[in-house]
Amino acid sequence: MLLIQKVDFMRNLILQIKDLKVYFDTDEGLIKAVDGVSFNVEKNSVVAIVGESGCGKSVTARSILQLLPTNAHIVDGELNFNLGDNKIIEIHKLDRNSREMRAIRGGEISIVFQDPMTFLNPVYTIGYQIYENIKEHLHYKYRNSIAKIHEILASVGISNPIQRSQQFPHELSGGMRQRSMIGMSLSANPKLIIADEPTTALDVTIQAQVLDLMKKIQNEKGMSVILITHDMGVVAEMADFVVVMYMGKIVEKASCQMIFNNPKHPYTIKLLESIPKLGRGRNQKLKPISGTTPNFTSLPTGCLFSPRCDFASSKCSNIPKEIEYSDNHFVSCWKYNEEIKEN
Amino acid sequence: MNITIFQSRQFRVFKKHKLAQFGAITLVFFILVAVFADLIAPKDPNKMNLRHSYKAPSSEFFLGTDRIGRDYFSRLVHGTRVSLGVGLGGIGIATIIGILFGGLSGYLGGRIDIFLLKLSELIICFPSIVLILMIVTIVGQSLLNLILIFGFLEWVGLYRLIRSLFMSLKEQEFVEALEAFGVRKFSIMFQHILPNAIAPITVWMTLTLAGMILAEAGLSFLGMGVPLQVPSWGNLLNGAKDLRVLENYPWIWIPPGIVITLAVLSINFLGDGLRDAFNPKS
Repeated sequence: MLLIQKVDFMRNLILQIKDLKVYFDTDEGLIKAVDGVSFNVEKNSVVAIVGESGCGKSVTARSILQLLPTNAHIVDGELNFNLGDNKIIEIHKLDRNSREMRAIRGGEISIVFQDPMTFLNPVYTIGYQIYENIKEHLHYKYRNSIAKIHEILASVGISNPIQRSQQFPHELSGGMRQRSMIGMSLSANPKLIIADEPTTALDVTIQAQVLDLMKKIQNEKGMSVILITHDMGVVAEMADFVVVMYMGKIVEKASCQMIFNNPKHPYTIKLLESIPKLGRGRNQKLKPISGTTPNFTSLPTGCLFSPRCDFASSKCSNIPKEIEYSDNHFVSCWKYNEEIKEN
Repeated sequence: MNITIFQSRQFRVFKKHKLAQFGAITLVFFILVAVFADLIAPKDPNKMNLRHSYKAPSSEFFLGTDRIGRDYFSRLVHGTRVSLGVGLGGIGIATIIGILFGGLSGYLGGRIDIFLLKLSELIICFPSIVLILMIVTIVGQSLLNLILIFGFLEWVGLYRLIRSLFMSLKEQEFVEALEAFGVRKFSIMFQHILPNAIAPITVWMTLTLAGMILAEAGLSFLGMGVPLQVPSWGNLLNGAKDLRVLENYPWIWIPPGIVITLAVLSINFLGDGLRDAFNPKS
C-alpha cells in the first residue's frame, strides 16, 4: 500500500529526499552536518544546492551515494530513487558496502568531482579509466568497448578521441580532464548526475564551455542533475530549481526564477547581494555577509542564521517552521510566518 | 604520442648513474650464467674424485678442485644458479605476501590492520639470524625450505612500506572517484593503488635481493643453509673454514669471495640507481 503510494508520488520524480539527517561522530561531539533536509529532484531537471562552504551541501550529495566518511551516518530520513518501471529503491536502507549500492554508484547515479587533476588515476590512460566504469556496470569486454569509449569522448567535445583515449591524465589540459571526467560519469547511462562544484577548479572560459556541455547532455539524454555550487552565476545559468542551505538546514527552496527575482529568506537576499552585477559601474560595492558561520559544536538556539541576520527579533530564538510562501516556494523564517498569519 | 620508457625522465637519470649501469650489466651477466650454467661448465659439479683432491688451477680444472676432488669452476657456476635462485625465490614470496598484507592493512585498516601489524612486529622483534637458524633446525635443511623461510620472514619490510604507501594513497581523490563509480575494493587496491607504488617496491626488491644472497652465503658458511652437497656460493666458502685451506689453497676461497662481493655490490648499485631514478627530486 505504502509502496504504491510512493510509486504514484514519484511518477515524475527521479529522487526524493525526505527529512535527511546525517550526523558525524567526532571527538568534539555529534555534528549535525545535514539536519532534516527534504527536496525532490524531478525527471529531466537541474536542481542546484547553494550555500557557503561547510553548510552541508556536499554531505547531502554524497549521502545519496552513501560515500560518507566512516564516522558519518545517515541517522534518519529517506532517500527514494526512482529506477523506472514502477521500481523504487530505498537507498537509505542499503548497506554502504553492499553490491546493490555499488551497482547504483556510477550505474544509476554518478558523480562529477571538483578537481579533475586529482580525481583521475595518474597511472592509467583516460580510455582505460572510462572502460573501468563500462566494465563495472555494462559488463563489456575491453575490445568491444573501444568504439563506445571514443564515442563518449567525442560526445563530451574532445577532439581526436582515438588519440586522447590513449593519453594519461597529465597529458591533458584541465578542461579536457574535466570533460573526460564527465564522459566517465556518463559512460554507463546514469539517470542522475551529481556535479560537486564541477567548475570550481577551471578558469572562466572553460567553465562556461563545461557548463554548456553539461546542460546540452542533460537535455539530450533527459537526465537529472544535482548541481552543488556556491557560484550564483552558475546557478542562474543551469538550474531549474534552487535549494539554499545554511548550516545543515534548508532555508529556502524555489524555482530558479523565484530565487533570483523574489528571494525571501534574509540569507538568500544577502547571498545575492554579495555577488557583483554587470552594468552597475566600476564602483559598485559588494556587500559581504557580516559575521562568520557559527561553529557546529556550539550552535545558536533557534534560527541558526539569527546572529548574522538584520531582521532578527526575539522570536528567532525558536526554530522557524518551513512555510510555503507561494506555490512551490518554501522559506524557513519567522518574518514570513507572521506575514502569512496576518493575511 | 605516448612516452616510451627510453625517453622517460627516469631512464635519463638512470643513464647518468654509471655505477647503476655497471650493477645492471653485472646482474644480467650473473643471471645469464645461472641460466646457461650447463653450457658454461659442462662438468658435473658433484662428481667426486679423491685422487684429484686440492688440485691447483690448471687447464683441466680452471679453478682447481676441492677436498674431495670436485671441479671448482663447475661448482662456482652452478652455485650462481642456486644462490640467485634462493634470492629470487625468497624475494618472490616476500613480495607477494608483503603486497597482499600491506594492501589489506593499509587500505582496509581496522582489525585486519591491527592483527597484521602485530604479526609483523612479532617477526621483527626477533634477531633474524637466530630465528632462521632455529627454524632450519626444526624443519631441516633443504633448498626449498631456505627459500620459504626467507620469503616468510623478509616480507615484513615490504609490508610496512606498502602499508604506509596505501594509507596515504587511499586518501587521494581518485580513490574516492573509483568508489563513486562502484569499483570493487579489491580492484581499487591492487589494480589502481598498487601501480602508483611500483617505484618503492622495485627499489625494496633489489636491495633485499642483495641481503638474501648475503644471508644465504652466511648461513651456508655456518653449515645451516642449503645442504652441503648442493653447490652454492656460501657452501663453497664453507670449504674454507679450515686454517690450512686458507693458507695453502687460495683458489678455494678467493673466487667465491669475489663473486659474492661483486654480486651484492652490483645489486646494491642497481638499487641505488633505481631509487635515484624514481625519486622526483633527484
